[in-house]
Amino acid sequence: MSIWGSPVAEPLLEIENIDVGYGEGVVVHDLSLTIEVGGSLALLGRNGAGKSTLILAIAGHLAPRGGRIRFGGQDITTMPPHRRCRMGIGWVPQGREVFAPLTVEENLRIAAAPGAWTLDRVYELFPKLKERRGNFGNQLSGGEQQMLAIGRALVTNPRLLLLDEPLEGLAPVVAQDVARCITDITQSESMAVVLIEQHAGFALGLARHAIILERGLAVRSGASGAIAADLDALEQHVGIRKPVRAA
Amino acid sequence: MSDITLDLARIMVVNRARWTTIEVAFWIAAAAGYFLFPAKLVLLTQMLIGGLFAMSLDLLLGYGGIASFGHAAFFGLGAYAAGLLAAHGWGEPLSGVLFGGLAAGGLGLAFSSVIAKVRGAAVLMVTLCIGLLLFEAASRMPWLTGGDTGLQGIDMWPLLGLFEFDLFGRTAFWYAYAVAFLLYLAARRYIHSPEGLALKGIRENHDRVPMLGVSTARRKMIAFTISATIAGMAGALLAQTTQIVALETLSFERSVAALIMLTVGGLGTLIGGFIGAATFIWARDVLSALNPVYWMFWLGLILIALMLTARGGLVGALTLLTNYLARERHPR
Repeated sequence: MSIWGSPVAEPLLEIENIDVGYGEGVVVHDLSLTIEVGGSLALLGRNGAGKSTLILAIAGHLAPRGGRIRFGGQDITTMPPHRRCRMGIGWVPQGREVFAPLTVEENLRIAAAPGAWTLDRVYELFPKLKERRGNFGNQLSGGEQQMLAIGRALVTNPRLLLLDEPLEGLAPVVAQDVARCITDITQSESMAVVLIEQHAGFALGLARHAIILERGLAVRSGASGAIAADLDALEQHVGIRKPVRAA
Repeated sequence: MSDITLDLARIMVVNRARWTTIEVAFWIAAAAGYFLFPAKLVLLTQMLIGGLFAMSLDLLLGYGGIASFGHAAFFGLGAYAAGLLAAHGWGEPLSGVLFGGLAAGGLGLAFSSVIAKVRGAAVLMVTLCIGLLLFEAASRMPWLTGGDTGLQGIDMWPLLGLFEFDLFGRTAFWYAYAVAFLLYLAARRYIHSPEGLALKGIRENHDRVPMLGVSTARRKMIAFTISATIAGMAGALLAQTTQIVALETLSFERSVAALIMLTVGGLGTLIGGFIGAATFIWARDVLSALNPVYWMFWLGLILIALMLTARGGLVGALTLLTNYLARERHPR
């Protein structure tokens, strides 16, 4: 099914013809995609195109109307979200969703599962969080909250990390900082990534493959390089978004 | 006002898992009460037992956001279980408390899957119904529970084989103190474990806890069972120290009293339940001596005033006070 990826690569996430929606409405139509172990995929498209809806379906917070989702060879279409997390799907939701009455450290401790990513390693990645380990979730800046949301997903030790607009609402300097960390994580690890990002330039630079969604349909997919070069498609389906200013 | 909130937050940041002044002060004051008010030992013992019961509710309501309107079901079941055990020939106190806790915990576990499924007002209704069911059952089985006259013939053996339960309630006081303190330590551990933190996460944002690999249903079931067990142990303590179990231990009034104690003391603080219970029971003692019929009127008035002025309960107010004093002594 996959039109990219080498044939030898082991598939991690396989989505076959899923329809997802809220209530009566269907938002994502008949979508299929494959991500191999350690692979990376950018989801592009305008607001309301169905990017976040697709992520919610992968994380298990929305049940697909049809189609199947497999993870590591196992059918997870109807699996509840907490079990998907334990299987290795980590999610950094849009808007961060940090727990306000818990401290930074407690936010991490709730999520921590045995594995390569420990609290110490997260503190190493984001020294700011170590400084603020005793602060409550609502006593953090937007950038710190985003770091915490990423760190909290990392300590669940995922094989697949879902990032939903991780740079949204961050000051440019902070956004660059967070972007650099995301790049570090994804390039040095065998962790696969699905990234939603309004900054198409950043997303295409980070992920090897990309899909453009429009009204719930995959209108274009392929290697990031090819899509980045296709300015017409980007302009038509994603809207003119200048790439994130050169770091 | 925002300064106050910030101060409160700052204190809690620094002293998260460490003991706060209020916690230490309470347990010292409770022990000192034995020497200061030797004529009031029965009342002091009731404060500790009431506090333990309120704390068990705090685990649910203050931490998990799960409101129980029928928590007396577990308190009363623990009381009857321990009472029946002693009335039928096994008066050993510690195993009796465990037995009371097990009985209540078993009932809690049985209902916990229902609690985990429902949310909001439905939780109130389910817990209310558990309370009503048990109360009715107990009053319809006088052959077992003694009905309206209460369960009598509870004969306690000496504590640890050494200390007789005396008429002045000295043994009873230290026994209740020790059990309450140990359970307080256990609850504290639970609250600061990832298990307890997840409970707070559930209160804050129910739908976002599963994304961390945590099952909300499971956490709620565990919390409900633990809370029911502790409530049952508190009930068992009451049965053993008063050597009678009345239907009132299962009543709606007792459930409500625990809610009041908790709100007065301060939700989500653990020690708030104990401070609230001490205040409530002391106020009841004083007010009912002034006017035995209408004491609830004055209590209601005081409660409304408290709700308007001190939203964090007494613990919130005391925290501000200790913080203020600390700053006076060490000006920045």
